[in-house]
Order: sequence, then C-alpha cells, then structure tokens
Amino acid sequence: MHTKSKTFGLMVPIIALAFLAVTRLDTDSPEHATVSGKVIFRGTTQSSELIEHFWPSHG
Amino acid sequence: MGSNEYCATAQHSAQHRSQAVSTGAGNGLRDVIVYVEEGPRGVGNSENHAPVLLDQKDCMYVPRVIAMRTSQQLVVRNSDATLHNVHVYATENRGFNIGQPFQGIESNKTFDTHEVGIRVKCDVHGWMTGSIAVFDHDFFAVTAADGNFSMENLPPGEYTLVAWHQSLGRRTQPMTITAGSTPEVHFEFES
Repeated sequence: MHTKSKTFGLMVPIIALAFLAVTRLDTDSPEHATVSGKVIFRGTTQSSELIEHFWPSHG
Repeated sequence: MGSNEYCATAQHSAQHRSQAVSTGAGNGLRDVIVYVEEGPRGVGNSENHAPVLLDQKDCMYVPRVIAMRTSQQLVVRNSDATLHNVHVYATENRGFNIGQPFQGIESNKTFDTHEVGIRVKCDVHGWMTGSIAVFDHDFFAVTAADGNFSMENLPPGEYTLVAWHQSLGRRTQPMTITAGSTPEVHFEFES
C-alpha cells in the first residue's frame, strides 16, 4: 500500500513535466512562423516626424 | 497651479503634439496595430502576458496605442502632478471613466472580449487621446517608430492580416503560412 502510494506520488510530477514539455514543444514548433513587416505612410502633407499643433496659448 | 497650467509649463513641454500620425525612418508609420483577423483565436494563454502600462506622463498617453490580451492586466498610472481622467469608450467590453488626481496613483483594469479600436481620452486635456485593442489570441503587434512589426509562432494556415490605425483606417491582406516560412508583409497608408 505504501509502495503504491509512493509510486503514484512520483508519477504525478513526471506526468506534469511531460505535459509541460509537450506544450512547450507545440508553442515553439519550428513549423510556426515569425511574420515580420513594415507599415509605410505615403501621405502628401504629413511627412514630418510628428504632426504637431500648439496649444492656443502658444499660437 | 491649474491642470492646464501644469501641462503648459516649459518643464512639461510648451509644444504639445498631436501624435495622430507619427512617422519615422523610411516613412515607417508608428502606432499601427497589426493583427490576425480570422485565425487561431483562443490560442495562447493570457496568463503568460505581463501587465501592460498605460501611463499619463507630461500630459500625454505613454504609449499612445496599446494591444493586449483578454484578461491581461492593464495598469493605468498618473505620473503627472496634476489631475487626469481616463475615459475608455468600449463597446464590446465594459468601459470606464476614472479620475486620477494624484501623482503616482494606479488603477488596474482588464478586458474580457476581443475588441479593436477602444478609444481612450482625457476629459480634462482634450489633446490626450489613445487606443486600446484587445485580442483573444497572441497574434498581434504594434508598429515601432520605424513602422516595423513582428509576430512570432503563427501556426501554418490561411489568414487575413489587418493593419489598423486610429486616424487612417484599416488595410487587410491575405497571408499563407507554411511550415518553416518567414513571411514579410508590408502595408501602406495614405492621407
């Protein structure tokens, strides 16, 4: 009885670790892709770093 | 000192900027939310995401645009020594309107539902506006100052990629992910 309980006690963390490992593999699978890119603004009047306006008190 | 006077002092920049359209190197457009529209919803775990900060600093929202997961914690902080309020106009989620009269005060909020384009504004300082997008998957990004973005770990499949900007609207394009691919996607906005 005591041996069965000890075995069960060992199995729980082993199963948990295995589950975590599988989850980790799935998340970082080499089949998954990294998508990268760039968003460009083609405005004609708004090409400065910032479109700025001043408070009324600053004209 | 009144709230507007505080924001107008030289220390807090005499020149306040509307950051509605902000571009950097190579005309890259900042603060665009790029995300997968139809795809692996429910993928990932919001518990893996650290709290995200919406700060009010020098009478500006920092950052101005936030993309986050459902159930991820949003920390709203007032770093200014003046009154701000954070008025969040959500439609799918519960909006809120909280006053933050003291420097250093923080409030914690979460959103439960997928929603893009949640408007944020300060009723005290009309130039303070921002946006929040909430996703029920992990596949989103906000463009950096140079307009670049990156999304990791997207499983193979057919997707629609969306680029959303608060003032300029949205663009979409289809995208196919195959095993081991490293796709590059470019969007363009015009005024």
